[in-house]
Amino acid sequence: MLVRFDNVTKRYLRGPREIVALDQVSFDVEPGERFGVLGTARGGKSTLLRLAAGLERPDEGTVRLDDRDIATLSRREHARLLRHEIGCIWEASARSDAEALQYVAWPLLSAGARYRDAIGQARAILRDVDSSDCAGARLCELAASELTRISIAQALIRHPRLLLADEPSKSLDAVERGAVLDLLRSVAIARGVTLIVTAGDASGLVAPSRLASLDRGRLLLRSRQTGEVVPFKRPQRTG
Amino acid sequence: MAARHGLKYAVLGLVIEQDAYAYRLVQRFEELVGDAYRLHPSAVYTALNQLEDDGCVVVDERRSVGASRRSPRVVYTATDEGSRVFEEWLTTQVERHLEPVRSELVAKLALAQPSHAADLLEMIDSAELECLDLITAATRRAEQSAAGRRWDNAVSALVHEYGIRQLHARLEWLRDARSTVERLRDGVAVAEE
Repeated sequence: MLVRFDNVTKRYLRGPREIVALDQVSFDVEPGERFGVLGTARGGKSTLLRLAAGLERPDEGTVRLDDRDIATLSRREHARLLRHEIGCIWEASARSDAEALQYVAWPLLSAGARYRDAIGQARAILRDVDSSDCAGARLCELAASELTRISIAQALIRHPRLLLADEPSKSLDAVERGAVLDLLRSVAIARGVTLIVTAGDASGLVAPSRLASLDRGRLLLRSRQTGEVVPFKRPQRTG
Repeated sequence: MAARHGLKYAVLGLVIEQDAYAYRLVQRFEELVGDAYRLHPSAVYTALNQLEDDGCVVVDERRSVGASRRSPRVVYTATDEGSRVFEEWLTTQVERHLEPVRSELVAKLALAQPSHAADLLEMIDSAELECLDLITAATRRAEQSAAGRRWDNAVSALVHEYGIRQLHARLEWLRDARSTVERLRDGVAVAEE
């Protein structure tokens, strides 16, 4: 098992109110799997991915990667994990005036790679995602689909085992969405990368091998063993 | 009625695209349209019989040697009349764009009482899982029709998205239904105490 969430609960304070972003969420993802999470807006999708990356810690339960509880990793171990094992595809900032090539090379440059090597690898990855023509452009000059490809390129440059993609096809039209999802799927298959991808809309899914629904922090999916509904805790009756 | 929702003409279009036997037409239709149509294979056989009666398709006797009428190896080919009828259908306005939604769950919901809330919630979970299964299958089919900017690929992607978005709309309704039934159940519990 590559990733395992075991009864994970995450709460936030929004003003005086406590928000339960994830409510006793349990699932596991095997190596090479494409796990899709279809969720409502503010339903906990991004929180789930941030917990999988170890960027946040659960209030209850455990998140395990390779059977190691991410919360028990030292800062150094966690940094190594993010540099070498996990690629995160978050939305690239359309307001940034960074040059696309440098943005893609940044994970290598920040880890101390030689400039020429990092830029060479960034060029190769941009070629892989069919975006060589964007290399010299600034992010703020790029279209949404180009920005998404740049984000995918940056996530791939360290050759991660696990890719976490947060709504990668959001705000793309049908043709662009198809192209980006096809790219993500083929890259995941070609590199043997495990993929956890969220989508707010079913048309934004990368043909998942397994699909779960996330609604108000509660995950609904079929049991891998029995095929039955994995029940979530229903809210308690008030009064 | 085979002509319902234009199925007869869609089958005719497939025969015009390539002479084929009935089972291959069923497969091709599913490749092209997927869950957007919920096709029952027998409907294709009915449509072919009607098209034959209308003179739009004929059995290619030369390529169907040894096949019986019920055999899946009967090869159909379109006539000139068939091509004319298909072109006319393709360029005529759609009669009904929106079909009625029929769901047993909706009927049960309409007639349920507060005491049925727990059962309804279980049914909603189960319906949502069924939706997830259908979406998974539909996205796989969409994946098989390669993306791109060519007309065929782009149109194929749009057709698959039609089915996927319909399923997604159902999923969203199920989530709303769950949230509402839970709230009503809790409200009823408070009111009864």
